[in-house]
Amino acid sequence: MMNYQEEVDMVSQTDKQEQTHLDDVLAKERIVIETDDLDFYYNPEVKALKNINIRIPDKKVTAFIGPSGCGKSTLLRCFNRMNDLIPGAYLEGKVMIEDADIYSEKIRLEELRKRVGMVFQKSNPFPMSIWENVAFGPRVNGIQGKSDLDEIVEFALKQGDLWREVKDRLDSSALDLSGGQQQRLCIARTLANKPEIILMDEPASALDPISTGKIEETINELKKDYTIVIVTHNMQQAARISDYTAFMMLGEMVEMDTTKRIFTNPSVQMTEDYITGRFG
Amino acid sequence: MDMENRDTKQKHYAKVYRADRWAARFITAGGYGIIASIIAIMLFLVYQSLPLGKNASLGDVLSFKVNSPENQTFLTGVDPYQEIFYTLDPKGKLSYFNLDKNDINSQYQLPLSGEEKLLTAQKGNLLSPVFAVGTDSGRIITAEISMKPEWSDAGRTIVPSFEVIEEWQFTPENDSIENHIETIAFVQNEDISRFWAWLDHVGGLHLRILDGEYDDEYLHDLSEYFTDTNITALTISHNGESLVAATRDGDLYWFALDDFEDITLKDKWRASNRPISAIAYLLGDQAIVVGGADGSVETWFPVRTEANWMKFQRIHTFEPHAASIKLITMSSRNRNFLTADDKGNVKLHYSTSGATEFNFQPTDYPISTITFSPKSDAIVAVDAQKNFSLFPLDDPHPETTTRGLFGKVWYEGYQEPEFVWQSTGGSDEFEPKLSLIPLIFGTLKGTLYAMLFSIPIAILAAIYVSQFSPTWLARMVKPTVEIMAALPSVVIGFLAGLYFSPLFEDYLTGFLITPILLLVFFFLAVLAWRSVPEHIRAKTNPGQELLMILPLAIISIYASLQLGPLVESWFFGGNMQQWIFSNLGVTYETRNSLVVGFALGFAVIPIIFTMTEDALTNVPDSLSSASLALGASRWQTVRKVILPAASGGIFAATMLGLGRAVGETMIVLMATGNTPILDLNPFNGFRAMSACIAVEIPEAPVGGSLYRVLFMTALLLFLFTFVLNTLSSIIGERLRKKYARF
Repeated sequence: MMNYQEEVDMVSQTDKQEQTHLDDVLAKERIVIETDDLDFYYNPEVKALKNINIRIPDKKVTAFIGPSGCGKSTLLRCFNRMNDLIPGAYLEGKVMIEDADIYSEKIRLEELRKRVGMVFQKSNPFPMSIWENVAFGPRVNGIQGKSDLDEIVEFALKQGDLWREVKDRLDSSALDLSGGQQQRLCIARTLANKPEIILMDEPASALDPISTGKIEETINELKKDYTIVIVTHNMQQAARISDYTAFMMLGEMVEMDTTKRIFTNPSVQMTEDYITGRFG
Repeated sequence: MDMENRDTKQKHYAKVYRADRWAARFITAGGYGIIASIIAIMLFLVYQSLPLGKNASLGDVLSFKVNSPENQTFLTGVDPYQEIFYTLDPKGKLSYFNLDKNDINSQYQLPLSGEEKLLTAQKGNLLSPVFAVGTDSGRIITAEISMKPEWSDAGRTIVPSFEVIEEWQFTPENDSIENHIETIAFVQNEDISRFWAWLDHVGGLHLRILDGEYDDEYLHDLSEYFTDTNITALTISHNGESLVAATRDGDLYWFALDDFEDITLKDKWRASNRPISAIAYLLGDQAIVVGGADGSVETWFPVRTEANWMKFQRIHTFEPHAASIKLITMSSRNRNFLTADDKGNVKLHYSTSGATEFNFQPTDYPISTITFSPKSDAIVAVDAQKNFSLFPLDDPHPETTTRGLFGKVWYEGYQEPEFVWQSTGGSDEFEPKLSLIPLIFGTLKGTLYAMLFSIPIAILAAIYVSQFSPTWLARMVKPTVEIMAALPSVVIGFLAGLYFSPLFEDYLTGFLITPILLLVFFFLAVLAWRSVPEHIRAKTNPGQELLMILPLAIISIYASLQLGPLVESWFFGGNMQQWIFSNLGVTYETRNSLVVGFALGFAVIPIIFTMTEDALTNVPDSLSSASLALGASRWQTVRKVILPAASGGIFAATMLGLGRAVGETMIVLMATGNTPILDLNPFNGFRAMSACIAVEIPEAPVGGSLYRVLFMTALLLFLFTFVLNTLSSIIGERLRKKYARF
């Protein structure tokens, strides 16, 4: 086994000067999420994220890749403060969305999570009807009229590419759908809130190749309207669907660049090692 | 691999499989064993309570012709062991016969003179056979029969004897007329006072009383009360307090005999438009049986009127006879009685239920005399042709008809039919009242108040602990609640009955306003908390709310108890109990349903809490994460996602708690007054089925009606909990299928 820690530490000291390419590219984009020296602790002994500085551009798909336990999901969950649910966890540094610090006391958590939707690794539809699943978000956020909700449900299901398959059985249980349909329902459920950003935590990892393909198509469609941040284990998937890729390792961001560059000409040797499958 | 190694491996696997098979057998046997024992318990309960529904039946008749020169028989009877019987003929000859051989055991002669003949005879005591006869020369002879068992080495023998107690000559004022005693009624009561009432040859009614204490004698002529001399039947209550005479016009005359010197007519009324041919007081001296010349049979007893005086009322009308009623005989054990008509047809009735149990014809001839054996386990009759017959009677539970157990019954002394549970009384003459309705009601009432108290607390606490509280608090609360469950219910019952209920009574108003004040204080606290600036609020950690709420709760309870007397004097006239009595019409009982509700709720809370908490915790985090990620608040998540998903478990928990409350015994036994009343009011008590079984089974004679009714109560309780648990499983499973597939 190589000792990656030293190498990672070395990289993070040098990456500031090396990432001129990314700076050039991002200069043309609008930045939606930006972190400033973000450290995350599960408890004072376990530091899961170290000194993360990342910029995520608007209406693009940004993928986080890296070996298991590298902190990519943790970072993702910092963006909608789902980590708040973990007892004892805390963070240092800043997470800015649209230039507002989302960890400030002025932020309403419900409001934030409505703006920053999330799709989980394992599809988790509520044990309710399809319609109720999609309408859940708008309802808890105060929309009550049946016709308004019907409109939202149709819109969300259409955008989630599920409308054709379920339009005749909106009242049947969401649990009767297939695994891939359930995950697209979860995407549609998130879309119903009309979020600005969608966080996806390995959304296709539990699905078969055909369902995965459908999800990827959906994501491709969605990036016209939404900023998407996706965590994935699957390098090909990242290559296929993302515009930008960030490679993480042991809680640190090793390298972020356009996907094309990361997969063809990464600036750090370790990134290349990982992508080519030398470790992982 | 060498052979040895393979052998040991195979041996090892064989061992593993053998262990597996045995474990499977053992577990299967255990499971079936449990099911079998539950079924066995139920079958045993059914077996014990099944005889309650058995109808009365007669065994094989023992019958033979009595060896006597006279055809007519005035009295008959049998000893408790059914070994000898006696008959009394018109010539005054009392003959004892051995039942097994039909030979004469011994004979005695009443002191009659010459051609003197008996006209009437009447037994005067239910237990020891004292009797009086009237003769055609106006004499009344009172005598005593005895059939005492004696034990010797050879075994038991019944030794009959006979003794004349008294001879008395009736001399009317106008003694020129030859007089005789037509119909006699005779009673010797517990004070050994004797009462003779008779009709003379012109139908005049006379009464003679011999005071057993002072040996004073009283003679009354009651003929003046009657306009017409048409009296047909007489009966005196066994306590010697009342005399009732019936007439050919269908009238009944009720005389009070309390004052031996001054006999008064208490009431007279028309009972029927047809002649009355026979009347008799039943056991208990309340009800009389009235038999008509048209064959009708009715029971009447005095009922308190609105003007607060007693008036006889028709209670039951029994299956009528085809011919005039000739004889009415009552059992000395219970409310059974026999009616015999002129054609020899006999019916057995039970007065409490108003049911005619059966109908039979002992012989082809009219009945001369008929009676129950002393233990009421046989009927003996002699017909007009000297045919004696003994019918073994099997009627162990006449009082437990379906209507008697579950319907309203008009008991003696009650103003109307009611549901009453009063299984035992002061004397053998007590009429058992075995309505299960008050007990079922009591169980449901106790359960209702317990559930009203425990369901909200247990479920809300479970929601708080599983969804909102910090981990350290949940870790403390759960074991504490489990200790609560481990507390023996007798301790809870004891504390509730002896300590809490007097305390509750002292601070009644305070306790009653506590929930209101708690809500008000909480509401105010929430309002105050909302006005606290956001940045301070955001700094509180989960769990700290407890530090704020706990003192608040203590303060509001303390304030309620302190405010109690003030509120009591402002709104309730200074005395809550008095106010309850005058405004709600209920006597406040120290051990009331509210106290039981708290105590029983205390026992039920751990069950509901633990299971609800488990159900809520078992809802996968992925669902609450999904809800929170969609912008739902914690409370919205609990309400819209977690509660529906856990609803099956919560329902099952509630049902299990309900089952526990229904079956709980010691708490309801110790913390209530155990009064079997039908009243939902929280300020009085109740008697639950379980407590009733616990209280009464030690006193119930094995195999008796009460014993079996208690078994039936147990069966009901068993079915109750069985149905509740089954329902909880079925509905819980349905809810789980619908909401909890994750």
